[in-house]
Amino acid sequence: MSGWASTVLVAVILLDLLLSVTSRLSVLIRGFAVQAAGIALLALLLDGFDSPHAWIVAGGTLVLKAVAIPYFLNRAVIRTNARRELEPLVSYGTSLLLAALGVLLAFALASRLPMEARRAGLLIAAAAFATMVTGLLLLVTRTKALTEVVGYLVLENGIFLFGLTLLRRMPLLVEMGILLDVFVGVFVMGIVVYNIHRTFDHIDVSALTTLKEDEP
Amino acid sequence: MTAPWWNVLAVLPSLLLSPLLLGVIGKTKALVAGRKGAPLLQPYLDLLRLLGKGAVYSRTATWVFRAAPAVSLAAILLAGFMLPAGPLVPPLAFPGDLVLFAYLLALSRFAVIAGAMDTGSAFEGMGASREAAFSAFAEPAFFLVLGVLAWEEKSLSLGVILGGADVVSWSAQIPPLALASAALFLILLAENSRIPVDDPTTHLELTMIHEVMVLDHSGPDLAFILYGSALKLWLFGAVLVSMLLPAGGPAWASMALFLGGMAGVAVLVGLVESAMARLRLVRVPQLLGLAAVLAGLAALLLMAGGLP
Repeated sequence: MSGWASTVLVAVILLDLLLSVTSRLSVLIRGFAVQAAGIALLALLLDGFDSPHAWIVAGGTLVLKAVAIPYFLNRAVIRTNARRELEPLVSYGTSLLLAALGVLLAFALASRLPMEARRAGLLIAAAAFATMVTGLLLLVTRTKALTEVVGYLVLENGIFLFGLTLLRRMPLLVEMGILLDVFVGVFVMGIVVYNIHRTFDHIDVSALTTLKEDEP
Repeated sequence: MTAPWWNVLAVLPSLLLSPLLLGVIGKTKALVAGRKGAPLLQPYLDLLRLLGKGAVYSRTATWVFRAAPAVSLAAILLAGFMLPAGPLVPPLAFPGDLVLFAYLLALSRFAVIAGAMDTGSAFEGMGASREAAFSAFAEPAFFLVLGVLAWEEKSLSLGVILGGADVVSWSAQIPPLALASAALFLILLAENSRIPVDDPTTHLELTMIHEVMVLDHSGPDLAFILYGSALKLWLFGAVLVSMLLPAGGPAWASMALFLGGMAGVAVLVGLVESAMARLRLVRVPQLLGLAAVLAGLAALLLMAGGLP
């Protein structure tokens, strides 16, 4: 693996740590976008700049995940007037610690992986696991609906990164299908978040547990 | 040990030039803010002025307070004997001296803290407690950084791990090196009580950490403490610069690179101070936690690099 690819992978891991500590939604969304762009670049670095397959995958990722989805999320932030995640279930310091533990776990897991796809090296699997763990962490510990959407997207980033190790064998159609799914998913979630905001005046998902039909 | 006597020369740059570092930081901040700023040599003049004055001692203070500045300065001076300066080999080197280096700096801090507690002033006790707490957070991060360097160079001596940085081995390890130096820079800011951890220029006792501890020191005592903190800044800067500098080449070029790097560190600190505000006290442990995480990640990457 070239030095550039490993530098990008380390940047991806650092962005995981940033995503786990930031309290601002705009930073969260921008961090996700930069991470997605980094992963798109990685697809090119790993597969070579002369493969049309890599160009399509990288281009699709860049346009959808680094530009379109952040744009929709930012619009949702403005419309729901939620700039900050105010009450996460665990504090940001603990979050950072958990994310760091996740990175450690990712390396331990990656070094035990019987991967024939080791051609891409240990670091890429570790970065993929670390990103998945961070996504899970965001999904579990945050209470704002928008933060959870980003958590889901970060999780997807990790899965995509892991898929990169198998890029030659993954059919293009599957990649494109996943990207389209993610895009539509974010689109729908944006509308849902807006509707939650309109009905409840906030987008705190912990309030959703009290939703009930009226007793007959 | 049969080190030649002229190895002692390696200490000279730190002794002579460390106050200049403060001057460069001050000048950078002034220029960024559009002011003319104090002359570069102002810290030297301040030290001279303070040395010419008498000291005032409170009636409640005991010998602990009087000893604090001297003990602190002596510990930092001794720590300086273990660092290389560009091409110059440190006069004091043995396996494991990096632990002594870290704890000599801790001893100097302990002396200042003990002196601050001895005054019996509530303000200084508060500053002392903050300084002790934050240094407890900075210490693991600092040892992780030293551990990364020791692992890479397979040695436990500062002179070797900082002086013998091999270009070939490091260029293969750019990410861990970058992470470790970022962590070390954060530690440098925290240990030397610069913004964003502490504001060295403020006079509000409630927000200060280091400065509040030395409020009662005056005259030569204060000069010792100021000189000691300038030296400490130099030492941390020297660790940062030496771990990045390649070895080899002619001695004068290596020395010029080293001194240029030190000036670069000072300018960087000045720029950070111009661009950022002080962090809230509760955020400081997070910053130091970040430094520890960065250094830990660097260690992880180095070890993973050894795996198939």
